[in-house]
Amino acid sequence: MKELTQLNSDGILSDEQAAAINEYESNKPLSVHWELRTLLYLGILLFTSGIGILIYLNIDTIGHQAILALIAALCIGSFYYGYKNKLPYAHEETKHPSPFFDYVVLLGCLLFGIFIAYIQTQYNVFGLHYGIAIFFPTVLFFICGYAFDHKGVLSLGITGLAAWAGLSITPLDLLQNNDFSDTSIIFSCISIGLLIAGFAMYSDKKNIKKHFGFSYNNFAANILFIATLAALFDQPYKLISVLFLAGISFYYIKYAIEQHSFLFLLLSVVYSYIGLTFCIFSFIPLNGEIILLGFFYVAASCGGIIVFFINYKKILRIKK
Amino acid sequence: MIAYDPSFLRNSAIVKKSKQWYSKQLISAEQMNNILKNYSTGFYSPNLFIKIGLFVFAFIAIAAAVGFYSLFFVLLGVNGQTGFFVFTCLLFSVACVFLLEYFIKNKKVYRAGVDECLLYSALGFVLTAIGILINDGFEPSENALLFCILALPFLIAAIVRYADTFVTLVLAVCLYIIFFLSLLKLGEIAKLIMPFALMIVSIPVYLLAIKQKQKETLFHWKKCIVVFEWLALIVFYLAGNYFVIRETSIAFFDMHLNEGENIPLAFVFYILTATIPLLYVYYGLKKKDKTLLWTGLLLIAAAVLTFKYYFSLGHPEITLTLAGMVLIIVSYTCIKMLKTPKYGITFEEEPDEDNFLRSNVEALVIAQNFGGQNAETPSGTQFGGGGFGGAGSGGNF
Repeated sequence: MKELTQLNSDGILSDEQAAAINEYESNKPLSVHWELRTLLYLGILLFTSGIGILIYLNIDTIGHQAILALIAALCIGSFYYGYKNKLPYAHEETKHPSPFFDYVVLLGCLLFGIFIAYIQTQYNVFGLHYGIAIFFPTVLFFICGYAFDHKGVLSLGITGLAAWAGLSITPLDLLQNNDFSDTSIIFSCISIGLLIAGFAMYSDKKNIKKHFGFSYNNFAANILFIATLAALFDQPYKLISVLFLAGISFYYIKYAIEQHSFLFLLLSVVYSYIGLTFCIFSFIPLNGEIILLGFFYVAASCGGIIVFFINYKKILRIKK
Repeated sequence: MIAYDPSFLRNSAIVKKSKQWYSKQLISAEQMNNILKNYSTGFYSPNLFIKIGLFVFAFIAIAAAVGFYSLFFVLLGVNGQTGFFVFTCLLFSVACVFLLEYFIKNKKVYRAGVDECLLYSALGFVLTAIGILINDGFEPSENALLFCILALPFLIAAIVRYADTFVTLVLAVCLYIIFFLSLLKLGEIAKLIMPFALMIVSIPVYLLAIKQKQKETLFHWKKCIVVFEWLALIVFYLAGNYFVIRETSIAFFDMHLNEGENIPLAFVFYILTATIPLLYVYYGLKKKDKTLLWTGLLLIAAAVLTFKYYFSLGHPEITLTLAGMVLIIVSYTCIKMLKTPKYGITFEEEPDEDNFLRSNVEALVIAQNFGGQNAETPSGTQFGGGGFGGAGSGGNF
């Protein structure tokens, strides 16, 4: 092997080490880790969809109560397994040794969500108070996310929180008319985004489950940027929207530098670019030869962004 | 030959290998630091998100530049003639290659989204120009073959210079199309021998690929050769697949099958459809060859679907449930069984870059801080060892 011989001849590896590595390379077993995991996942996917269709086709003979009982039993079983095998809570990240633990916890949480949705659609338990129907699973998701240290479940919780806020704050008739241009939904989006981002900052400072910061901020950044852009496009408060957009871009670019996160850098740059382009084109009316200028602007600005990404360490003065 | 800095490419291969050895405790933390220091790569090769972003932005920029250029000439009153289109395409192609060379040489980009986008655009422009020219001067029936042949030199040049895997895939498909279309020229007999001809031609392609892959002189093109390996395996299977043969016979060779009628040699193709994927998996496991293994697994799915298509029981939900159950049971038992390696196969994860970072970054940071003094090195190593030994149960630091 060329890599090994070069390291050896450059004097970094001793001859014995090189021999040991050579032996390891020629005798190492074939790892089928990802192959088996993929097969398992595929099997679960096929099995659950098959069962789903079977139940759907035979709902008349099975009956709703039986299905609800089955879901509840599976759900309780999953949570019992999770509770039995859980690691003690810690503020730091805890990683469970079993490859199945995370799946079982996720299954339990999803089943709970399905259970609530089922009794709501079938028996209308919560009536028109959809907010309450979402509230219970959300609380459970957050508790499970922290107790079992599960990012996937936490993401479910965050989504549930946003849905709950959207449903409770926004008047229902507005939602039913599908009228999203109203300001109230933008305000509720922005307030929930600020709340989540603030909570992420607080946990980061207090050192509570720091690795959850990504999930929180990923959601908060997207919802904040989209709501602000919506406000910029549709609402009359142009100046405030622009300033607010600049503010969150600044915050997330700073966050990206602190966390060495490319994703947040990309998000901030793309969303602010959209905002900036909108501003420029709404000031300059596009007709006649000015379209030429538009093409030039797009080509030049995209080129500029590429140059920014290639040189961002120099531009943002990041050392490493 | 290769546009990217060869010593950087070599260094990144060394670092990648060393990281695997380090996570297996075959080299010490100090040595790892030494390697990271001495075999640095100056490439700009960002992570996936930025890469996608750069690709999209480069694409928009090129599109806008084309728009700017075209609009400019439309405003000047230039009519859309063939010569003008071809000239435009060639001009942009040259511009893209020029920019690509500039980015690689001065900005050290390597698989950064920009270089891929520029390369694909350059090739796209050239191929469009060829397409326009061919459409003007030749009979439509000859077009496809001629287009593929004329595209070859550009594709080969691009691969030699930039070693891009996607372009290699295009080249390989192109070569197979040329083979297919020129064989069709034989007339009646082509219909009979086509499946076997494609299978037979895939064998030397595959054997050549696995042999050339080992060669040190072709180090930079290793991934490109693997593309040929994949495609040869897949074509070899598809050429003998019952579904493919039956449907292409009907679509391309004007074969008319009545209800209940079957294609000639049907049982041969049934056997090929069923056995080839299993053989792939078997030899993949035996020879520890991931390419064979993965193609085999994918093609098992293709084989199952083929048989389902012709021998369906009419109850897809039962099939789904049963297939899922079989998969779950098989993979679960394999996972349980391979927890301890058997027959040279293991469930344990191969140490890769992410894995390396997850389990060893602490040890490396500590070693970096104290690395200067020799006395500290053993403790650093031990710490790294402890960290890795507890892999999976990372909470017990």
